[in-house]
Amino acid sequence: MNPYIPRVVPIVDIREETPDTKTFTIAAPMSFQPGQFVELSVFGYGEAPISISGGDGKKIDLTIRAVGNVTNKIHRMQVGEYVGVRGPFGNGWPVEKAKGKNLLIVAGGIGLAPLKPVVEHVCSHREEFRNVTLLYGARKPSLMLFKYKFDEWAGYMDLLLTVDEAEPGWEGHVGVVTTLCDKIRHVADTITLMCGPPIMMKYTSMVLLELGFPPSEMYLSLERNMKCGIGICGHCAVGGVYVCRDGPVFSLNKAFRFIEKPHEVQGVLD
Amino acid sequence: MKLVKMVTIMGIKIAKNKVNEFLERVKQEYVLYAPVENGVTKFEKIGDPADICILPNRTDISLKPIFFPPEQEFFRWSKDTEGYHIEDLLENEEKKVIFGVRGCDIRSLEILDTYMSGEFADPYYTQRRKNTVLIGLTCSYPRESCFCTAFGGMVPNHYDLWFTDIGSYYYVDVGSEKGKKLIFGDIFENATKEDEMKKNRKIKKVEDEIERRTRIDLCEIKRCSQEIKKKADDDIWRELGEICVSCGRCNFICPTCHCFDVRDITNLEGSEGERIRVWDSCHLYEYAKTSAENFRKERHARVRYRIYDKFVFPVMRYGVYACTGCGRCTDVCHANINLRDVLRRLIS
Repeated sequence: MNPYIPRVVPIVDIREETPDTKTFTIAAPMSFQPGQFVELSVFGYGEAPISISGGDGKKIDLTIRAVGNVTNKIHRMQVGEYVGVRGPFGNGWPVEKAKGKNLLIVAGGIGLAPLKPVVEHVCSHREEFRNVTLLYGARKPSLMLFKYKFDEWAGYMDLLLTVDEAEPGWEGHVGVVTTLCDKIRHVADTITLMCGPPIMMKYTSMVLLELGFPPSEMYLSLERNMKCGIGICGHCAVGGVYVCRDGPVFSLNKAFRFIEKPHEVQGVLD
Repeated sequence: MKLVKMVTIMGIKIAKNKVNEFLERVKQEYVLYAPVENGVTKFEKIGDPADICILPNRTDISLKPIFFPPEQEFFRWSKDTEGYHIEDLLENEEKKVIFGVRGCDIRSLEILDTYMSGEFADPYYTQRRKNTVLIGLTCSYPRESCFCTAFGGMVPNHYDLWFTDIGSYYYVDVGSEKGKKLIFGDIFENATKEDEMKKNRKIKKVEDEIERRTRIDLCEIKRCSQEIKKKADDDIWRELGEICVSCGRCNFICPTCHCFDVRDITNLEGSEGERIRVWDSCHLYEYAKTSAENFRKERHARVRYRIYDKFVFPVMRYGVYACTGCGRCTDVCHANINLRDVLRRLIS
């Protein structure tokens, strides 16, 4: 099997999440672990690594913000048009490890997309976990993803929401994600899963460390511009590991270990 | 020791004026690649063995483009009623003999193999790499930039045939079954003990010359990975960052650099096109850019990354240095950054 050849699949549903983000459901029959990603092809425009934000074995959801060539093009596409997909790639979140323990999910902005399958897993297997908290921050209330799901999720876990900048109608917390960290009601025996912009992950992991969360139990999903997804093209290499194959999820412990001087994980841990 | 000597086959040699006849014979069964001079010296497909340029030392351009071309087509796609039709452009196998390779060339292929057909398999590279016979040649004298002795010496551990100039003959070492099949009885002759001594003297002489010039002690190289790892904050990176122009030439000329970018090229209507990969360079600004941020925005960080990716990370992951000591990066650098000097400073 040639790993560079994508499967051609149609877009079957498009949902607008925020002004710059849409969720595309594509008919790709694929089983995946929460936290894995695919290489999405828009023919004529190239490929981009996109994390899987949901799926049922027959279809997968890709929540995509329009930032580059491929993502801007797919934002202009309609249901019924075809894209290519390779994958799934990467290791995914260590959900198994969190069984019987407390679970803390920290997301910033579009970082909620790769964590959504975990949140959904918690909703359908709530008895497997003890306390569960979802801490989610976005720049503005209008930029929050999956708002229509919040009520449902709140029935299963503590939902801590924050925005950097309030808008009319927002009555919740205002401030960066770190300002909510002391509201988490469980510290001991907690597995933390985190995904967000590098700067957010950096400061949040520092604050959580200070609050007593152990670094070996904190998992970060790193973003890199993977071109091949199979550990060859070199774009995602940091400190001797390939984010696409060995990651994208790393324990904070391991991320520290990449290199003694963490310039390689700049933005996350420097 | 004695036992080994007894089973070693008798040495052989080939008269220099028979080399063309030998290559002509090889060509009947294989596609032949050898060094030619065309502005720069590089390996090319040979039509007439008389075009071959027997050089005193390594070519300007390495073997890399034969196995990992600057532009490689992955597949062709075209729009149809079912979405897109995809046609894989994986080439057929080609039985090839590459004549005139050097120790650094062979070592670079071993390194590329660990990256591209070891833990992870790249079908396009692996296909081109299959059925390759390598005929090596001892250098007559090193280039100014050479330091292969720091990474294992001039004669590599694995080769199919290895030629060493001993006057009017080449002494021939046979390194594999594939190589043995090319020993045509009517072209090669048995060598004498004296021929073998001449060969050993020759190799020693050139290696001593390289060592004298490079003055990087082998034992220092062995710990250079650990040493460099400690120097992440050294001033040298800022200094190099100030003179490096981030052109990426060292990456492109390097026989072990294998990063690539994936692109689509299409016709004007966008109804058909090709997915290709092109060489990429970790020295370029865009290399580590993602939607959130550029992880190696500063030039000195990119200079450091390349050195680490040659001398630290591959040692951590595969236990090998991703450098062959060919010195090509030193030769092509616009800013006159000499890798040997950089290493010497890092391990001193």
